[in-house]
Amino acid sequence: MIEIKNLNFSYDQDVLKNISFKEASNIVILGVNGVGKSTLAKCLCNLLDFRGAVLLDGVDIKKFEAKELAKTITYIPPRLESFDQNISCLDFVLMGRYPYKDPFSQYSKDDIKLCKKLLDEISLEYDKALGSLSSGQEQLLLIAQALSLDANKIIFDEPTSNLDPSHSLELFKSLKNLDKSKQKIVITHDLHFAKALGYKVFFLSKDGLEIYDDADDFFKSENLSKAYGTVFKDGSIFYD
Amino acid sequence: MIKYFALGFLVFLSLSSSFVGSVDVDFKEIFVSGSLSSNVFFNLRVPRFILAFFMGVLLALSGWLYQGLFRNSLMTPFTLGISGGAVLGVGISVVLGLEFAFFGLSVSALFGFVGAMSSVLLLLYFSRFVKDSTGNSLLLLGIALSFFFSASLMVLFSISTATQSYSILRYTMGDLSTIGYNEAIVVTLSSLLLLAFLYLKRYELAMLSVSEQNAKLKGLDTKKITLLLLVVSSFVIGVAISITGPIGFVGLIIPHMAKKLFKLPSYKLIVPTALLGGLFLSACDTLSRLWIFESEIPIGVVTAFIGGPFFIYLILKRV
Repeated sequence: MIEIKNLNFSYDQDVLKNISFKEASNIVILGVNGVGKSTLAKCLCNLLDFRGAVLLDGVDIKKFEAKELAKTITYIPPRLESFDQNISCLDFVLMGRYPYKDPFSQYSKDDIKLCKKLLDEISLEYDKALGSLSSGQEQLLLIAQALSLDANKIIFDEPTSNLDPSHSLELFKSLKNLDKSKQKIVITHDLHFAKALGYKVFFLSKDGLEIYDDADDFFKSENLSKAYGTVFKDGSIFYD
Repeated sequence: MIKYFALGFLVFLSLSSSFVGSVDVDFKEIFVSGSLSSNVFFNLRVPRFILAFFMGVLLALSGWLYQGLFRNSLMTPFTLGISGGAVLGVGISVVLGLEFAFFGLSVSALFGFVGAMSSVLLLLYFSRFVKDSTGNSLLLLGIALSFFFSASLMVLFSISTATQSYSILRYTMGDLSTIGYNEAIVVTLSSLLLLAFLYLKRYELAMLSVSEQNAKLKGLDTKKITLLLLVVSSFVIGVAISITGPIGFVGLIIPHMAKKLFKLPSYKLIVPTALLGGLFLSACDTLSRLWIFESEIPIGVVTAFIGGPFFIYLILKRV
């Protein structure tokens, strides 16, 4: 359960204003560029200094110990940014096991086995350096790292933005097969992907948050046209 | 191939350190007790080699740490103003005429330490108001502090006698000359402490070297760990710089060299960086005492002469 009370956040100008909701099921967050979808996601993980309150399963996130918060919620950014480009894929995925690691010991054999399995699933070599990955591989690696973390709530930020259609389908299947007890939040511009997921739709705009319990309602052309301010036909954008 | 040749040459220069200098050391007399060679070798050259090697270890590790911690390739104790603080502290003690020893260490070294720690505390205080996590703002704060310390040092120069000015100037160029083992032991222990501490925190440092966001999302309390690492490292660097004076370029170029030579993730470069730093500084110390120069060249001048062009080469090669 994620609960937000009067969330406000501003960089130089207000980005999020008085956002409130309480939701236990899976969510798709949609909205035009720059409206604050990723900012909202980062606030949910306490990565930004916001005003208001965020409660995860009834507990204020400011009261979480760092490792407990990591086990409770995580955020998968759309791009991998790393100062150290020589880190190997295996080392990177292993970082997801940090909250479970004994502070004075190495990563366990089970941790290493799990992370190798996750890398096998996305066909990435264990020793490959981060700097040599394609953007699609980076995205898959970020997802693998988040899966090794095994948090209760996972926020995927534009997870298909760098993936080819077959990998997008793989990701779609993985999301569907992921532990049902985990709450999934997907931020995307890929409307077909969003519709196929069938999650509740949160449409974020400058005026606030609109919630569609029935996703099919939102994906009607007239609603899409209204929301995005452009012409949609048969649920797809009309290029003309 | 060139890589191994260069490394071999560095090891050779480093190991020759104890046999180079104004007094010729006779091999046969080294173990003859009471002989000049034995005295020079064991009381001057060996402690000097130990001091140079472990000072190199410490400077290289501190550069490695600051660059990874703030994800900024230019971070070193120099750029953060820590060395400037040490120099100012020593300058004050010289102008005040405090030249007695305290537990085997000079009072000027203690003043240097207080100066280094003061600049760290100022930096930590200012960094509380900095929102940017890339380290750029901290770097700028460090540069601003360095300017302030330099200006204060100029004031000291203008009110000091010629002898005092020379003494301060010599300190600013770094000095590895030492008598006996007190100073070498202090610097060795400081560098081993830093090495052990960094090794203990290698997984956390690996996470920070990706990005602060990545580290936070995996459950690392980034503020706490950054503060801890800064305090511990600044403490040992403050101690060491107060003894030898600031020696530039080692902290800046050695981590880059290690990265280029070994092509490993930074957290696996702790020991190679430490060894390379030790070899580099002791090799530079050998060069500074070569007979072709009439007197000893300050160590900071040698590191800058080698480090400057090498760093330009690294930048042009886009390392």
